[in-house]
Amino acid sequence: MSLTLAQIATLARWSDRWLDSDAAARAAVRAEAAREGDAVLRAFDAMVAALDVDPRAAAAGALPPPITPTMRAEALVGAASRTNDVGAALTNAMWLAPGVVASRVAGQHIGPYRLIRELGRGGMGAVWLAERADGQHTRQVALKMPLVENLNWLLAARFARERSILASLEHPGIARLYDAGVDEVDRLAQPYIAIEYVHGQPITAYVNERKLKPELIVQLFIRVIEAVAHAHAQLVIHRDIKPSNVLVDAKGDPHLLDFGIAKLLDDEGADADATQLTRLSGRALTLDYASPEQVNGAALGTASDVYSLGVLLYELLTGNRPYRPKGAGRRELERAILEQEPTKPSDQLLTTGDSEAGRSARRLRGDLDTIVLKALRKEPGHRYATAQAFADDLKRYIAFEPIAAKPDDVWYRVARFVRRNRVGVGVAATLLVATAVGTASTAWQAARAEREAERANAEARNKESEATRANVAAADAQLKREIATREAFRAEQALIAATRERAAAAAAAREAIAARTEAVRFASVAAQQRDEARRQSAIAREEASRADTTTDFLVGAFAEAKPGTVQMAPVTVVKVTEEAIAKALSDSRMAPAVRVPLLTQLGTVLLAQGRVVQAQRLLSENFADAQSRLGSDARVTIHAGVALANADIVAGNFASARDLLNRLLDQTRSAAPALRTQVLGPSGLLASRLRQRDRGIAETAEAYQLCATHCRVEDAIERGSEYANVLTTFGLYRRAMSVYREVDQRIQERYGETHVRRATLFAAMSRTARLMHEYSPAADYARRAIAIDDAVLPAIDYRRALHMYFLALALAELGDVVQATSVLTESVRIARLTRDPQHPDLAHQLNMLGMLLLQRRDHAAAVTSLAEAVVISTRALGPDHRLTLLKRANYGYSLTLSGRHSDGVAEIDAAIVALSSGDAGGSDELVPALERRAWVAVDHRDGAAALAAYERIASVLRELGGERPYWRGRVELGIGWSNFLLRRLDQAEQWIAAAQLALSSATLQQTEATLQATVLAGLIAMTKGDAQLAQQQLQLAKMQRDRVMWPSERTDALLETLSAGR
Amino acid sequence: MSEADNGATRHVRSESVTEVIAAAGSNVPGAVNRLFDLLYRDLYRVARNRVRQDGREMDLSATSLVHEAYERLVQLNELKVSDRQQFFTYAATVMRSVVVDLARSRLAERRGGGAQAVPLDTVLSNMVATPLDESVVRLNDALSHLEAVEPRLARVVEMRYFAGMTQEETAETLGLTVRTVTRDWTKAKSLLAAILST
Repeated sequence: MSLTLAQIATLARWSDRWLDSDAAARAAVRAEAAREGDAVLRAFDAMVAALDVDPRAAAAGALPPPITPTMRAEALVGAASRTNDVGAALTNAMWLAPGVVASRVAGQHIGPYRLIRELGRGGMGAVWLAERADGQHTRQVALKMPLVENLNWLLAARFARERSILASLEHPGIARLYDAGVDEVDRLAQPYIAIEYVHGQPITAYVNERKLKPELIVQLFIRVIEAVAHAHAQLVIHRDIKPSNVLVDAKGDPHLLDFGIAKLLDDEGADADATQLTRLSGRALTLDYASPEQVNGAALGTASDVYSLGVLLYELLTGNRPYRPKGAGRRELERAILEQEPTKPSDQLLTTGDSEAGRSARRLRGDLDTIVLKALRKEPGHRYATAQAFADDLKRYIAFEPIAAKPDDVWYRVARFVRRNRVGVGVAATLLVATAVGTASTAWQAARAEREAERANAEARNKESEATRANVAAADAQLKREIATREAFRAEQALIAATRERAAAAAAAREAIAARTEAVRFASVAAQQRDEARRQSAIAREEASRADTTTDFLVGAFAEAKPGTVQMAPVTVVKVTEEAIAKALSDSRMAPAVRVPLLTQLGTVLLAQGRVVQAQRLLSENFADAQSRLGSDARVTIHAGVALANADIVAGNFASARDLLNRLLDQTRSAAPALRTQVLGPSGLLASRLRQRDRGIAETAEAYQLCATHCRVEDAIERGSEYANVLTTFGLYRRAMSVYREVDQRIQERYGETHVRRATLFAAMSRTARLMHEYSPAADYARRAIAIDDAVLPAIDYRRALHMYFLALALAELGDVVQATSVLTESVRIARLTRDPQHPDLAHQLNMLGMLLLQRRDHAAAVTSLAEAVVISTRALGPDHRLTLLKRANYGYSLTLSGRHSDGVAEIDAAIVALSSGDAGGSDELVPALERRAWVAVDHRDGAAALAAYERIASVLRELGGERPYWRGRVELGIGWSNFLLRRLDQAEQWIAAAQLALSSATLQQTEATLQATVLAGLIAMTKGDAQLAQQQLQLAKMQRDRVMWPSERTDALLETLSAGR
Repeated sequence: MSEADNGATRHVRSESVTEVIAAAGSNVPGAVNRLFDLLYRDLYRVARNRVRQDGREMDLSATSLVHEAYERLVQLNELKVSDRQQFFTYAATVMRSVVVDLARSRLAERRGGGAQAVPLDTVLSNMVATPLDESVVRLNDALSHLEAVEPRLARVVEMRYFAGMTQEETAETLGLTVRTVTRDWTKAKSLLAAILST
């Protein structure tokens, strides 16, 4: 740009004058411009030309063609994959050379055609409605005009050749190619292609508008496929089948467009020229319908069209594409096309959730799923051999005849699973060994196992369709009640989400059963290959260290859902798990080497579901079985033992967990590091629960360090998390944080930035930060966890609920009781939808909600919430569990505030007694339980009882050890308060001063305790007759009161006394 | 297309759009960048919902993306109705930045020889042109010059051309009469023609 800013400003002034002037004055303006030199005058002339002509033409002169809504949308979506920082992009200037826009106008002639109106402007050219200008035909055509910068004779010759072949494609379902040629416009070559003009709408829009039933869609689609089959028979493939190329006219007849530039099957020389065309074409924006071989740039055959037809049929039937790429970018979609297995059409429909979809899903289930998935196979050779075969199978489906396609067989799925997990031969080899070691299976057994599995499958299907029917009915009922208010809208959203989750649960359930079937089949297939296995067993033994992969797959279906997959509904999961366990236990022919790891994983799943007691029982039987059948030193036995120990730890049976882990430690003393660390980690974790500081740290540290070089990354991440957890327990927060950050590195390397494991890690970091009393960072970490949840998890997921719980904890500490309550309420809602109604986490959340409600003085709601927390915790963890007991203390405290003083005190005292008598595990909970007792005493001005409670807290804290300035401050404050109630003013004064010191060193944040200390100091001064000091403290207290958003009633009563005493 | 998108309304935001607009308005450091990120995310969400209907381009509604994002945020209580003007202003700037950015990256990609071979007809039906890209980038440069002299005219171009807002929306956002916007629009186009002619 050669104009200066000053010149532009001048031009702007001239433009105003020009607009407001008559002809004479305008001449004067122009004369003025002329005096500024040639460049300015040229600019001036360009400007007034734009000012004067018809507004539409002016727009064409100055501005590029309009940006379509599509381009805006594409730009936004594309930007996501290019940059995260739009602010930076704004200031990032990059200069590129100008280009030329070729524009055409109506009436212009191109070749023998006259342009009528533009139908669309494309990436590399335009499409116009046109008609023959030479009067030969009155027929209207769609004239495509690709923009080609360097058209050479080669291309022109190729155009001519294609024209002759493509023009021979005659089929009612294919838009005819009439003509192709090259014209010269403004001394530039302009190739054009004239095809039959079809007045219709894309098939997707057609189907959606009419809400066609699956059977009608299939019938329509058969005609599309047959048109493609016709072209295939002429050795022409389409290469770009997508909705905008399949139009349906008003009569309901489908027409395929754009066979025009298809590659000719028999033409070896086509490639060179095709590049000429395509190289200039830039890149396509959508590859939604591209086949894997197209993505790979491999040679294309008719199978590629079969695939694209499959994608299109899939979309017509379900309203969605078969893949769920992990991100927005093109690369993610490419990866999905190459790697992801398509969701079954019927499952896809269920996830969209409305009742109509439920009905359609039942129609699709089975044969139609099978047909579509066969067309979508990754390997061209596994798809339908021809488009005609595809159409024929659909016809058989319509006629209720048996179809030719078979459901994916086990080996196919296994092969894909193995490839997805990139473990090579590990899985297969391991299973071969497993069976070789275990009992021999005969072919008869194999057949029987298969029948069993089939039956299991059928049962699962029945259950699932029952569930679906129930859900559909529920959704229907809800929709009928749909009203305009926001409340109703929200309720409906929740229900739809629940339906969706349950549908996904059904899918996952089937996957789980299928996984079991596979495991059993593996075993029998392996038996037949035992000789081969023996030969390979030497190699295979090494591979054995990867054995978990198989069962990881199984567990993956339950516990650690892949990102993007939907979490299962609690009830279904529990049921499926139980069924799987029952089957595994009842199948006496299953080899122990298969059964034991299976049950270990299923037990772990139970534990993750919060069924602690059942998990313990199952894992304990499993471990005994493993010891007697496989020997104590077997790897799977060790794993079974560790799983049992974990269940014991969760259940609070620390003593038996200790025994067990000690034995396992002995047995693995000389085992491979990878195995040993799997025992060491949990052992150290247990030590930390037992307050064995040195052992806990030493063992988890050793496990972590060993793992750094000897384990799979997954295990190293696990060990690091354990180590950091233990460090946190013993107050080594900084070190814990730095270990967490190392773990974060590994997670990012292994799983990328946005992965659910990273969210879990952030939640753990949030906890550590919270214990450091760094509540803002704690809230931030929780938010980061939730942000990842937003990206990778469904809206309703138990992990999201957990992370929101962490956020609420931090917010509550920051004094934002309102926000904390609202986050927590949502968390509880999600937890109720996703968790087993007896999960201990739900109890924790309800417990906290109750305490927040108490702070908000909603006593009745608090009592309800806390009572439910106690009930759930009792069922899940048992009545004597430390966490259950603490909830009882909280419940008791809420009772005392609701007019049931003696009931409440009895609850609290019972909890205290139980916590004191149990093993050391309850000390942490004893402190808050005692504090509840102290609160009750303070509320009733019972100084002696308060003092007793606080002094006991002090002694428990001494036993626990460690620097806990915040707690020390709270206890000292309590003792001071008690002394004040007992009218021991001097002692009270000293304790309060000590408390203020401890509190200020513990946290910079304004807490309620600080406020209480100030008020008490004021009250003591007042009682002692020092009115001036009392007054000062009152002023200070009022300031502090403003910063503590929700002080308890206790505090406000205290403050009132001080104010009144003035 | 993950489930998370559909449920995105449920997540807890650290701050509402209204809060960030206020911060940006009072020159809180970093607030403008944050605002752009925030707006971008919402525009993106709306856009992606539209692009999902890919293959049915004709169904694209006439309502501008910006307008749709605005309605959505107001409905979610993320945005106060009183912030409408600022929102539209900032959102239009965001639209300009992403459209130009897309154009540049495509040009760069083509120059880099990283173009992927695709059949010509695929390209024909995708509604973005490379020559258009170049014009957009040129226009953006010219607009930057105009912006230095006549910022209001630049806003009008952003809203009308890049964000696809109507004259009425533009007038309301800038607090001008429709007549003034029409005149500004004409002036802006002619000045851009002048700048581009040299």
